[in-house]
Amino acid sequence: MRIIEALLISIVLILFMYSATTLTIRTPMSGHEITAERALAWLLLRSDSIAYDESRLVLVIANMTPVGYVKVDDNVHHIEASTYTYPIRLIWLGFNGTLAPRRVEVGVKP
Amino acid sequence: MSSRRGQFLLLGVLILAICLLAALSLARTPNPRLISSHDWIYSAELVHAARLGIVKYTKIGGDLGEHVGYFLRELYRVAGEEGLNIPPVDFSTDVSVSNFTYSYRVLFNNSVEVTIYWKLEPRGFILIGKKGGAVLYRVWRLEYYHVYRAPQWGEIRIHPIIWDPRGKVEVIHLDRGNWRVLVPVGVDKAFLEDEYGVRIGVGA
Repeated sequence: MRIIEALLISIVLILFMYSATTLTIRTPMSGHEITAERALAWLLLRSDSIAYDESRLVLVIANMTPVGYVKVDDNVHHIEASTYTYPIRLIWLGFNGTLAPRRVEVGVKP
Repeated sequence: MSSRRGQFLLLGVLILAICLLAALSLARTPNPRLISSHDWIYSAELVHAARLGIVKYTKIGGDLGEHVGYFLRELYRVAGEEGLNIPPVDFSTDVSVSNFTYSYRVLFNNSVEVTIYWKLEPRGFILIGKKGGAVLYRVWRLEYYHVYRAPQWGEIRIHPIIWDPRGKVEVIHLDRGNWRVLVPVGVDKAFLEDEYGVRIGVGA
């Protein structure tokens, strides 16, 4: 009898944890985040060299999608004030066949 | 008895919590139910790495697979440092040269594919007056494009800008992906570059 009780409590507990997780942590990406991701993927496809002209990169990204900030390696460029942003990270490995990794993080506004 | 009550109370609280969460999820503003894990970015990163490998191959030769593998390893290294979980992939390469038609292809096992293609057609000769004299050029028609395939976007075909870094060859843009290249007679093979640095050999 006690085993059945323990089993039932465990099942209910698992159900509770699952529903709480799906509601909070595993909330799917919003439409605008996906739109921003597509735009940034296109930028990566279209240009190898843009990440090495920081001001141009920031200007292009700021005109492509609503962003709070653009971080290129350790330089943070604040574009618009925002209480919450989704960070999307990209890596430009290099240009013209040479290796010169550049890390770019874009804070996409909701 | 009190222990049993406690258990029932716990069950009741949990069931109530589940009901509240279910009600809350129904009451929320609906969001697009799209599952994505930055797949677009990951596929674009693979294309970027493969293209860099092709550029290096066209510049210094060697093995295309080794060049692509080098950039891919670096991509995974930097991605690891940045906390990007790019799924591991395997790839194959193919270099095809036949009858004035050239293609470089990198195919990943997640269906991401990069192809760089060009085709040359000889179109006779032309004499152009220059600086009081005349220069005889051999005329080539060049068709040039990149194709990037991925499950996320299907097929993208781009027509990069081409130029001659040495400035000896006349490169005239006709329309999307089509160029006329005038190579001075006496120059056996001219090497053009596209905007990514891919070296394009023009000549017999």
